[in-house]
Amino acid sequence: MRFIYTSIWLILLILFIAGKNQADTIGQSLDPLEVRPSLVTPRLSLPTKLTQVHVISPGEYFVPPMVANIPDDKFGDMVRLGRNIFVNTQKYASRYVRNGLNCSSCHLQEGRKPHAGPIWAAYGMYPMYRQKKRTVVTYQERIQDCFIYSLDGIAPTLDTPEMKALVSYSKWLSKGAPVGVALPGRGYPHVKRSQDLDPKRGKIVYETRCMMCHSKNGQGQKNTNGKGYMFPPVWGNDSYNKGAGMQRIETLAQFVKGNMPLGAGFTLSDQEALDVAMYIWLQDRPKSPKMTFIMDFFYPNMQH
Amino acid sequence: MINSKQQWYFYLFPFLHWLPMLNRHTVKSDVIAGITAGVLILPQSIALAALAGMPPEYGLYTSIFPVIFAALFGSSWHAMSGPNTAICILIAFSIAPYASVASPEWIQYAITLAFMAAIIQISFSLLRLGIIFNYFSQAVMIALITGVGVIIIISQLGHFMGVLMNTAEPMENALPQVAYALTRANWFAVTAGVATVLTGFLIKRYRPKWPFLIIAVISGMLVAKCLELVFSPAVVQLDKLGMMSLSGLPLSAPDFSPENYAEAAQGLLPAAFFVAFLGLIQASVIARAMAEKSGQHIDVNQEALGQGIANLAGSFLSCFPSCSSFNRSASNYEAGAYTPLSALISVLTLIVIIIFATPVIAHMPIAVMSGVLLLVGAGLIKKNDIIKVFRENKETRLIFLLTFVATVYGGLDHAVFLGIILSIVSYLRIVSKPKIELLQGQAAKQYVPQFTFQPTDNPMTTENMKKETHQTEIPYLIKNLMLPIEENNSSFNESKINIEIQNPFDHVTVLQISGSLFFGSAHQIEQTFTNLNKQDSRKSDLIISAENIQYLDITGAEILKRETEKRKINGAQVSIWLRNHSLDKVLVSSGLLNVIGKDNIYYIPTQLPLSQTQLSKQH
Amino acid sequence: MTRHLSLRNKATMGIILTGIIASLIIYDISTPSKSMVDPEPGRLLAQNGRGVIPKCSACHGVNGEGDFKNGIPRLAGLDIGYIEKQLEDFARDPLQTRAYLEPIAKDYTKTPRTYGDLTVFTPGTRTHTLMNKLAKLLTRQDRQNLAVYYSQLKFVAQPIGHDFETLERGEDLALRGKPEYGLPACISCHGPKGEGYGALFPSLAGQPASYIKKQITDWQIGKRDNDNLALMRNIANQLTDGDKEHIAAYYSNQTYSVNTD
Repeated sequence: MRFIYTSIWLILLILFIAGKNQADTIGQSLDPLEVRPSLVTPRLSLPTKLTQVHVISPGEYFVPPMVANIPDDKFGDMVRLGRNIFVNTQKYASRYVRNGLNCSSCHLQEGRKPHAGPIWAAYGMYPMYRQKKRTVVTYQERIQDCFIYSLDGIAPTLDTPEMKALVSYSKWLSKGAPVGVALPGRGYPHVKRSQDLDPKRGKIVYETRCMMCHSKNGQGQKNTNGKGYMFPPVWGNDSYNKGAGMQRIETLAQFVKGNMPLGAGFTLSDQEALDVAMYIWLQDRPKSPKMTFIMDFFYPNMQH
Repeated sequence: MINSKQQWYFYLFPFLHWLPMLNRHTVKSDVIAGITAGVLILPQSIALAALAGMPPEYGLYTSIFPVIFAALFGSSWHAMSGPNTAICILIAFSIAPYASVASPEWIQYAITLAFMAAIIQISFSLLRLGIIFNYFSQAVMIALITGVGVIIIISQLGHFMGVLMNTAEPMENALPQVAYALTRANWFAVTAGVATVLTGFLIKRYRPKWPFLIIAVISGMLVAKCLELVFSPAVVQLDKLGMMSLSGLPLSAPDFSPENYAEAAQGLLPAAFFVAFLGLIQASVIARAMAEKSGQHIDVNQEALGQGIANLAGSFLSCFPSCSSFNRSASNYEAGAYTPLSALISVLTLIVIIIFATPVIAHMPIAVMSGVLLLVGAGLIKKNDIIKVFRENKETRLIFLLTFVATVYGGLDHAVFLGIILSIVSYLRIVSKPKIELLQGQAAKQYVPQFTFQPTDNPMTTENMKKETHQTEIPYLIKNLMLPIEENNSSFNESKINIEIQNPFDHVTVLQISGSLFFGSAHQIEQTFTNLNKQDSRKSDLIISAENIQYLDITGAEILKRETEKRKINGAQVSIWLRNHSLDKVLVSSGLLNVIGKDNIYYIPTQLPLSQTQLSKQH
Repeated sequence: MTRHLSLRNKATMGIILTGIIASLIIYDISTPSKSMVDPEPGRLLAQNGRGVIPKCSACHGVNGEGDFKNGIPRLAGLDIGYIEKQLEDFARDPLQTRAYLEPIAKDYTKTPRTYGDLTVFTPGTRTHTLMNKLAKLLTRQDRQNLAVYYSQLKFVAQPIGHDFETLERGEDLALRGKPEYGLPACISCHGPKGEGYGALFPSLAGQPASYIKKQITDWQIGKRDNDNLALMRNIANQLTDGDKEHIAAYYSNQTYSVNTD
């Protein structure tokens, strides 16, 4: 009996250590000599086709004010708090956020980057009718929805300092942008599919282009101090839930197309973006607050 | 006899009083009471923090750190400190004009307020002013608490319906807001809130020994969770409390820097005074109530010191102002606590609970919390106390109504101010109204010395007997208005006095004065003499039975002197009956003795009822 | 044998065993997996050289602190995997990979282009006259030893002052990148204080300013080509000379220390 006890513990120990070692090398297991296979047929020829990159030409997009120019008064303090919440939601809005994301995980570069849901393009369009909620939605309510779905958390009420700070930051960031005008760079770029979406192709794209930062199991990589994520998780418990906008394949594909890999936006083709979006969509994540117990139990992947 | 050195030691470290008392039995009772109290305090601390406009973790800090210090440095062994409903409302009222709810500025102002109130409380204690809290009128206290209960109920109705309402609004705006908000109400929130309130009421009614608040909270949260499961969280849309980030040692400091404090100083300084005052009043009332039950001797100044140190330490540990709590002290005592060790155990229990309960508390709907506050507010409106106040006398009724209306419509700080004024006025009125009786018949005969006694032709007929000792309280307010006095059998008018004076003592008027004859009651005495003058034109001898005068000062003596001189002009005499020689000094120094004459001052030899034969002239 | 053991003794043994296993697991979780490999052979090689191999400390400093005046990078405290990979890439001959990509000149007057049908990633080469020669002399074991030795060395950076406009602009680039170009912030991969992240993203703080500038230029002209997924190439292609100055100034102004605890 004692032998059995000991052996069970030893096996568990060995498995644990082995698993840990394997986990340590995620992201580095990509052999640099590996040739990225083409989507349909592997091509071994040298690249020859020079294509034009959809460049983000600076003159085209609204340039928000610099952070060094935040005013030195109480409004400026609120703007600073809003920026802190935006960039480090884990720390400054810890009361309301429940997963591992920050606002700037998706609204890249503090909400400034065109084609990544920039804040300066969104602020002037609210209040607006949202199909998702079948009603006219104010900017504050939109932020609340972000907390409930994308940050999988609790919505701050309208009188909390966090809400005021975020709205102040948004207003300051949009200073000078025209109100009610759909500015260039708003939201995400358009994608058009050329074939039916195939998650197997998407898996290949994920493992060759995304896995280096977002890890094989989509868990991202945590900061060195253990708090928060350096590269955010794209699925799993610490990612957005099934009610988020990113759970729509088209939205995610648009985001990926315009921004990912980070710094190399518009390098994936439309089809690749859609495929990888489908692959990510299939993975597990927290359930949507819009689902009731019954619906979530019997129809877990219902898109709504 | 405790010598002064030992007393100083005990004053600084009052826990030395009860530390030696601990033995296995007391510690066991204290532990049980402490655990009960710790469980009880959790929902209250969060709800009261929301009432004060602070994030919930500050309520928990306030339930931990000031409690420790108040237990160690306070005088009462059973009183439990922590967030207090009235103080929380006062904080919210005071800070509302200067910051928005739960913002960092609001929190900083609350901490600064705690520091200022602590300084005031400690000064009260060091200056030995604790005794003045004994004079706070009971009616005012009850009115304040009832008003607070009403305010809580009305202010929480918005949260109860899941509707965002403006905070700290004047009551006349808040009530219509509630009515308008009904159309926008979130009925899921109402359901959860109603479940909470109903459970609380039922438990309090049928199982009073159970901790009804926690059970109400749990049932409210269960109902909310069921609603979310059935209808989905996005449809139910309950606002929740959110994850609290608690730190083990939340250091903070009051901020008096000009840029942060100057604009609020005007409002915060009186607010600090009111917070301090209200805290000490409640602390002294509770301490006395506990002392009544337990027989412990309470030192009010020590209690004030304990409260001041608790608030002082709290202001450096992120706590808002606190004071003793009625219901927690009462249940602490009921649970069988012996010493303040139960308070310390309750703090430990609270810490342990928080560690495990923080993720659960994050999901508490705000509607459930407002349900808790509704229960707390309803518990403050004590029907028996109000009836008692109303039945006592007209004055207390008036005081109660004034203070209650001031609380509900004028704000708690103004109401406390008004309450202080009313208490002072009521105290002064009681103190400065000496009882002045015009004695008749047998009772008066005792005071007439033999040689001035005129044998009466009028036997003691039944008619005359009826007019025997007839109490004429002469509240000069009402006399000036010529209104009848309800308490007396007869109304005071001059014709009646005439009739009575015509009773055998034509030439003698016997007046019995009891109480204090000082500058405060001077006016009343003068009125009496003026009225008497109208009857007898200062022609009859005046005998003043002053055996029940506790205090006579120069002003009073001057009045008597003037009256004596006036009567002397007309040939009448004034004599005074005294109980003992304690007032002699005043009589001499004011010159009254010379004016009246030594032989007109009589001393009553014994305390026994007098008979005429036992009268004697003694100097 | 077990029949002779009472229940109490079995329970005690079980508890002790669980305790030992648990403490091992906890120890394994808590300590970062610092390799227990000996830095001594690496130190010998770095400070003395071996045969034809000159000592690394001649250029890279006695304690691996580099030469900030001459733009020689510090090696102290860099990630093990990073040092190893760089040495490998230095040693790799571009012609060996049988794929040579013409670097795309960065000329803002021309329309930017990329290889739209890129299906081959070169494994990575890094061109530097001296280092190419030296790295070829090292064996695999040498590379690992050197990596182990240098990664555990201490280093404390000396912040250099600059005018506030440069620093502001550098901070803007580092924290926010150039959104209007789609250029991500440096901190999104290189760590919130430029301390680097893992073996793939080296530290920028505590490196000589001229080194940083040279590296970005090398990315741009293709002399350095060993980034995974062509990330740095795309980023470098969007930095102007002024940006390089600002970034270098910002990171040389950072307070940075490694391995000092």
